[in-house]
Amino acid sequence: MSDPDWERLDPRTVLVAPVRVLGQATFALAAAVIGLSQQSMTAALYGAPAIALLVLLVGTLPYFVTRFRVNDNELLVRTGLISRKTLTAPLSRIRSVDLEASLLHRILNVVTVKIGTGVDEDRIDLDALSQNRAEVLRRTLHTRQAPEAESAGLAEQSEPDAHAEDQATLIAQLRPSWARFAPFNFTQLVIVGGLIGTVSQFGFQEQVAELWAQRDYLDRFAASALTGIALATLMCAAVVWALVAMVGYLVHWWDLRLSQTDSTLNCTYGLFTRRSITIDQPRIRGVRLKQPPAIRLLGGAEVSTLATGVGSEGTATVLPWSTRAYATGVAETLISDPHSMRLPLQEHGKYARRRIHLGHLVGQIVPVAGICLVVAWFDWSWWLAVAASAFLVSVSAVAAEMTYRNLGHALTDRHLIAGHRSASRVRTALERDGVIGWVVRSSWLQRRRNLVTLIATTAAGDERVTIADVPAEMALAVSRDTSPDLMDEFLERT
Amino acid sequence: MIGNGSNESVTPRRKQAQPQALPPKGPVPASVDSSLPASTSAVGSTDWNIRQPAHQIDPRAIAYWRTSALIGVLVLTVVGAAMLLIPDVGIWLAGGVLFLAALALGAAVVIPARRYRVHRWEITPTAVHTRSGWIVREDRIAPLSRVQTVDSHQGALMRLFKLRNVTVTTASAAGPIVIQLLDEEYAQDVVAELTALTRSTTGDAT
Repeated sequence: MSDPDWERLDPRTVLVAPVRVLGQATFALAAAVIGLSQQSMTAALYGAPAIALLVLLVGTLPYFVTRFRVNDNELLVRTGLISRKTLTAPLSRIRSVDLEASLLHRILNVVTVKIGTGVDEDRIDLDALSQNRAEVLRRTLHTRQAPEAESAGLAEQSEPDAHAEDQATLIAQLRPSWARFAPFNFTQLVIVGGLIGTVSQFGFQEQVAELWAQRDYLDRFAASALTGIALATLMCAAVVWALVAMVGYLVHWWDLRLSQTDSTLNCTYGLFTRRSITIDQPRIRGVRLKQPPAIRLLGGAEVSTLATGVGSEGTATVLPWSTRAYATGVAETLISDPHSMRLPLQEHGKYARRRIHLGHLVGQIVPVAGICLVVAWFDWSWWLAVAASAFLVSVSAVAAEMTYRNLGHALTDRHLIAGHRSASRVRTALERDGVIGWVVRSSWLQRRRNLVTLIATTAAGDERVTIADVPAEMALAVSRDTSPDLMDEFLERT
Repeated sequence: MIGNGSNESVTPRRKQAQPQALPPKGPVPASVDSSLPASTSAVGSTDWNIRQPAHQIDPRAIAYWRTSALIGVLVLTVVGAAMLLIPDVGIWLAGGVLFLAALALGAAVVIPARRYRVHRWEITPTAVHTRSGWIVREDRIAPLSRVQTVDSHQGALMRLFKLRNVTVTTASAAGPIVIQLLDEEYAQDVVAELTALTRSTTGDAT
């Protein structure tokens, strides 16, 4: 392993890496400076720049110390100044090669290469390489790790086939109007909930209620004014929330380009930090189309792929909130199975519906009991409890019906399609070949109604596809149709 | 045992007790709603059922489950009694703990035998099938061609009863199959058998 064989990082790393190290060390730096200033101000004045300089110098070390090379079947990275460490990654274990470029990186025209080696979530980061070298490295790693490339013929090929690049087809591109979906992503609404919580900490409601109870018109006026101010504040907060969400969406997904070649799927996006994710086609085993209730009402949807060894949960979002027609088209293109995302799903029958409704109703017992307790504690009117409980129960009934309608399954030539049992309409398509095994689970209550929960285990995505509350015969028929070789010997006709 | 590509399943080395009465078939299945639209590729009107796996687990499993449940009962009883003795703690709390202990005792007496009737397993030349559970019944099937590791495990209490678990993992985190509570020597045989079977298949197992 003589030195010329090892490649070095780009010289511009010297400029880029220290900034990153400084960013990471901010807290430690601040703590050190504060600590120093408690001793004496002059020490802090001189000490702070000195420490910062030291940190910057340390930041330049990676350039001098990191070396890497790609052999026929492995990637080697050597780092460390005092303790030399060599990371070896067999090319077949490399699951993903992503490129990321922050604003500073883009000004200097370099990128960070993030290489994921699958199971352990260990990642090798090469910060930074020039754009061209990074692309070449990515293509090299991709072509060398493809199973066909193991044969002697391709191994002799020094330069990856540049012709393949010409065949990239653009599947999707961001339209800024999609930002209108962003504020309705209610998973982030927990922030607003917290806001309401903090406001109510000030004992707001009691004061208003007291003022209302007074007979004096002036007090009543004050009460209504206070309520008005509170409402106005909430509306302002909502508008601010919407703006922040939309801007955040645009900044994160700016100029999204989803393109496909014969061997890879590439997703590039970002305004300030530009990210480029590449997934091998053989690793993509399915897609998921997700429509949460609020966004579905507006006609939006999100597409993510189920792939083996990608991301922490295995599902990578390749198309953020967009119009349903567009998202459906993209999803169907990704798995090359037209109509699969629009196919009507097999319903699961009246017992499944009853079970879902009953489950939702039982779930409301605790909240309703809580409401009654609160009303009794504060000695408010009983009508409040009745109204609130009725509201909760009717909302949950609507949610239960939506959940039942979203539930279902279907089978196409190449894919198993599952409608998830949730108020959000989530449809997952999984390649039949991607199914490893089956789990058929039934609780005592399900057995009474001859329902089972069918789970297809797979290596892709979150590693399971669950079809809940299926009539037992239907479930077994599906499993037999999907994996006849496996299931034939275990099934018998009744 | 398997050799020559015959289609037999792994035969038990020890003579397992003949399964007594088969586990009850369960309530008569409710009729499926006939107004359902036909599935895109339904197998006509044929009804399928998962056939029962061939082998039961070791009979000592009953004693093992009972013992581990009784240990829990013992702990609960001791805690409850101690709470009764401490003057400050309310009588209701202590009573609740003792009630739980009584429930656990009932469970320890009743459940293990029923669970034993449900737990079954089978290995064919191409796949593994286990059935387990009592209130929540679960059938797990996985092909041997996708198996990644085969190992066995023996907890402290299991050592007393000379029992071992055999775990088969696939590339899916949702897919590990555990053959619980086999006789420990027999479990080693099963592991060897499985390892030989899986080694003979190629592939990335994803």
